[in-house]
Amino acid sequence: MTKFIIKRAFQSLFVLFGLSLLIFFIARVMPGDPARASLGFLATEEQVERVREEMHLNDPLPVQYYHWLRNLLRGDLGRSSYTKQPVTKDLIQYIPATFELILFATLISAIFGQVTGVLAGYFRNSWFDGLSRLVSYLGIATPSFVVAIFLLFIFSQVLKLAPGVGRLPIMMTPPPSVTGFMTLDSLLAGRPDLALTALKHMILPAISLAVIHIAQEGRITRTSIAENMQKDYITVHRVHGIRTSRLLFKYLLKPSIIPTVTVMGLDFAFLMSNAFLVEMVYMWPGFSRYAVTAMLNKDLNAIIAVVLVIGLTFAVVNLLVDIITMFLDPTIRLRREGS
Amino acid sequence: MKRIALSLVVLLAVGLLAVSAVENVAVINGYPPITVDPAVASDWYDTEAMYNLYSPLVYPSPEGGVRPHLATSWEAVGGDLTHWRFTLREGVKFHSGYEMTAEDVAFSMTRFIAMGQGNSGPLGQVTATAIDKYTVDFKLDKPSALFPDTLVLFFPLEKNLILQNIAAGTYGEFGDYGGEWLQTHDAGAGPYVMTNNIPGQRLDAARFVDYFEGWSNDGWGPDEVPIERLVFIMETDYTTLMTLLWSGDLDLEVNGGWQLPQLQVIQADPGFSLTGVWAQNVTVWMNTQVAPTDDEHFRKAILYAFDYKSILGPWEALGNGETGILLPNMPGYVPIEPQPREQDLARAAAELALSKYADNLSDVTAAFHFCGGLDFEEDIGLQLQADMAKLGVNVEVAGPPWGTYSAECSTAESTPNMTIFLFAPQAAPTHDYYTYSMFSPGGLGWIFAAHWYFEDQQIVDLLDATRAEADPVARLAIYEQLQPLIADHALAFYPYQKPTLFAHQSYIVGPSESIAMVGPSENMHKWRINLALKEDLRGD
Amino acid sequence: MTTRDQMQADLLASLKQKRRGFAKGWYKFSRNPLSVLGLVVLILIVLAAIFAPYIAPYPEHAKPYTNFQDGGKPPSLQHFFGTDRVGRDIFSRVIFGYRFSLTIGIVVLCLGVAPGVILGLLAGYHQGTWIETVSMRVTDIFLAVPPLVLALAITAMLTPNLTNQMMAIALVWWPWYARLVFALSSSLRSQYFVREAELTGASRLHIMFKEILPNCLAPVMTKMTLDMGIVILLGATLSFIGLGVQPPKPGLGTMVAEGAKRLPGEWWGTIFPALAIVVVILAFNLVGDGLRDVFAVEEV
Repeated sequence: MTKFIIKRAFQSLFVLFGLSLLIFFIARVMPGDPARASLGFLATEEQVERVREEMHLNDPLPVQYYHWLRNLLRGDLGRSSYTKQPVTKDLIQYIPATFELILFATLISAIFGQVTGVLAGYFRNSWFDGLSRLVSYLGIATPSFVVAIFLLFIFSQVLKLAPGVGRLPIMMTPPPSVTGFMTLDSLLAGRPDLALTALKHMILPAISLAVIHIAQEGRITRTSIAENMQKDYITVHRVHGIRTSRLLFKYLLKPSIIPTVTVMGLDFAFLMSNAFLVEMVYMWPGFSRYAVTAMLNKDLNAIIAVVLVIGLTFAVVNLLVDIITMFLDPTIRLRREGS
Repeated sequence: MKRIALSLVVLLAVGLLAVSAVENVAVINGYPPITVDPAVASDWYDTEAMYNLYSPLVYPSPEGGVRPHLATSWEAVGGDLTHWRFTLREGVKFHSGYEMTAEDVAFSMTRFIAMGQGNSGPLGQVTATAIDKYTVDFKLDKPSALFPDTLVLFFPLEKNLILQNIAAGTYGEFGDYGGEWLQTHDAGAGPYVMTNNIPGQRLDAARFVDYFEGWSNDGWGPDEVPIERLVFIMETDYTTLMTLLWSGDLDLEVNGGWQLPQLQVIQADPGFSLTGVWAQNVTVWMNTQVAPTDDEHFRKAILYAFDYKSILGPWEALGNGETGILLPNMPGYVPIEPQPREQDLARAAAELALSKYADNLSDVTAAFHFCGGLDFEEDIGLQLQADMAKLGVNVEVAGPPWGTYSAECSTAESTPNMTIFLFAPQAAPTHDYYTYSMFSPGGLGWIFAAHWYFEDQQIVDLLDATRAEADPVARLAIYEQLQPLIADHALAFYPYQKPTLFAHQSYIVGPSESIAMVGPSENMHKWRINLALKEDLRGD
Repeated sequence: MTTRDQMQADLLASLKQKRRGFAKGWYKFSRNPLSVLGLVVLILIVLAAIFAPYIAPYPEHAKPYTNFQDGGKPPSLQHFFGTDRVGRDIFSRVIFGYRFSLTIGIVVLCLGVAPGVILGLLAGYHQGTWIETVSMRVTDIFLAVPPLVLALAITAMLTPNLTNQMMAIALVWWPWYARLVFALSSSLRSQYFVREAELTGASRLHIMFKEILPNCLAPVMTKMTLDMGIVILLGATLSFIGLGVQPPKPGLGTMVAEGAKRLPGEWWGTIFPALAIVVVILAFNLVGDGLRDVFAVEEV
């Protein structure tokens, strides 16, 4: 088992290295002058030239890559030409906001996905099943920014049921930042009212993010449950008079957990990048929005850092998913170790 | 005994209630600055906060030019305009309580030039020395009659405070020159003190009672008091901002991104006010080094083909209109073609026929780029596109993101045929900004001169003369002479001027002076809150 | 019977079988009402896109046109979907917008599928050699981040227009097909008919393209149909940020973004283009699901 993990870890490292080469190449080779972009309106040619020297932009590409790699290993990701802060500082500031949102979204999608999936699978071919199939089709077909805009429009602007954009209402001072999670920090600061407001502000964006995953996970769960329902061991349990709810959640859910966990893992990593559309619509000060701003502003250091963070998250999550599924299903572990 | 205690408690409660009932806070929507370091700030948004936290050496004057601020007087020593001596005001306190001296000013200038970013460009290389406690000498590398005017963006900081907070950096003995520390602290002498800063998200500031200009009530009404606390927020969704304005949570909006229907609502409601602050010259540069705009007749055709009235349409009520190389309210303004400012397709077609592309108009494409996301800039492009289509010319409109856009404009070959920018003279309140910076090879270049034309020697010489001319009247005459000469080359067309409109609650009153040519009027020292009016309108 | 007659008879029989096969497939497909619905909607959209200049009430609004006086009008009989801020008819622009969406889908898949399939074939056939390792590692690198991120990075660097948008998405899309075909071809490689071909001296090219490839077609085609929806979604997303087709061309994503600034007052500017996007993606998904059932493909 450990050998497998180590082998996978090395593979991921190699892939990340290759990714860094790829994104570095793209960022440096594409047209444009990032030095000029970071200096603003009134800078003269001499000033721009100086910054170009500082950023090593006049050196050959391999040299630039070497400088960058060296700094990376020291923990220095460079300075963002847009926020003018060290990129590491920006990351620390923005990642928790997105993580909080994604975790909430994953929670929502896990619960609702499973529940609808189980019910649809149990009542297969009923009207409930048909309805949920239709809804899940819609969920998969609708881009997240469309969902985000619709929800904002209907619930916040028309019905005025939900708060508008941002993590907190404008006039509320945020609590001192300990974890970066607005809810946790508010509770730590002894302000449960703030935590509640923060939670309310998270609902619409989290739902926007979760919709597509509820749809997907629901379908997978439904298929799996529907399949397993036909199996003999279920009939045996029923004949023995086991309660339906216990049947559903103890005996049917377990085998369908594995594909669900796999999908959830993939979803989490995808969410990190797709979250930016929702973050844009809801003015969420998060990592994904930072990523898009960096790309639009040719903020080279930030772009490279952002892509690597996403790649790293992806790799780590994939590894975790593999480990968890190996625990859940010994046959998978055996199969993997054999290959 | 009990009764005394009880009444004390009641008194305390009433007192607290009274204080909290009248919240003397202004919530302002502008972009909280990315950086508050005056030597690094380069963006308009950074400058907005700067004027509240720091004070410049000289201040823009409503009549044009500059007036004494931290400096009381100045003179050119030695007659060759490279040596300037400034006398400083005595008794100016920094936020820490320390008094400002020439040492602070000299240090700040050295720092400004050494860090060499953003706003220090126009100054060139300056050496600063403190002669005595209140006198500073500046030595320039090139003679300039306008040096004092460029100091509106120079903000002295407290030398000792900076030196105490240096981190590791690239400036030799000065480390990072305090850059890291300045992100979350302030070392200035402005009317407000930073109390909390989350860069790019929120900036809180409190009134600096010992501000050197004082907080006298001269010229204000009896109920109008200074604003005690400022909160700068960042909100780009104007629907939300409208809601905040209605609920009273937003006091002042300085970015002006409202939709026209929203502006009309604000104008109609007595609880809100619109204050026009300064005009921005909407300029569409035409690149003279790239086909087809390399042909003067082609450029002139564009001037006449554009439908000025159509684009003006709904905005007319808010005071847009004619403009040219200078803004109409500037002394020495000379109107330029087309006069009258309307579309003249016949004339445009005639110009096209004279151009070298007359025989293959359908093959040429002119690219019009704007900074992605800005609707009204896109509208101008779309309008031009539709107009030129009537003449059989293809115009491509594209809106790259800012990073790409500004990078495109860094060389003559990569600059698109037409680029659109707004020029608001926040950099320097003079004609120099609209002339030397834009049309001289020694000027700022980049997007300031995205026409890339410097071949007319007469213009170049006249521009140099404006900088060397010490007499303002004579200088004005040169500016008047210059405009028709520049306009003749058709380097740009000017759709309209767009006034900067601040939307605010009616009980936020100001600014006490409107500097027609230049910002920044979000210097909240120039605004007051009318408490009585606030109670009436808000009832709390 | 002569050999020629025999051959003719064989040919007829095989054609009949193909038709029967097709008929069988169609029968299976039509049992699924949702898939048929999807197909009908899809055909309508494709027809509308092809005949856009004739169907749209105001075809010139998809070209350079401004009429600010008419801007922001709500849906009415003259303008089914209302007008946008420049005064253009949204209904006409949506129909023309479908042209771009469909073009993006088709071009990207053509550009992206072919190289991916070829690479996957090569890697799968030469399993266990350096060819496989290198190809699959390179694929892994491209797949290390979600496709949107790379596509975004590439498009943000270049001038935004249709060509660059398609190129960026294609660059990001080929790895999926490489992986799919690799998995398929490496398992097919050990099948008996491949061994047979090898033994009888068939060239490697022949084996890859005549023996293995045809068996990959079903899953690849199903994936392509399902992917059309996702590619269109990706294109709409990039346009939404402003990196797609530029004005005045009516990209659906661009229209949603522009309209979003005017919510809630002028809701029609964003709601109708958004619905248009959902409908076309939904149609492709339904058809793709139906195909998946027909081909009984599991691994897509």
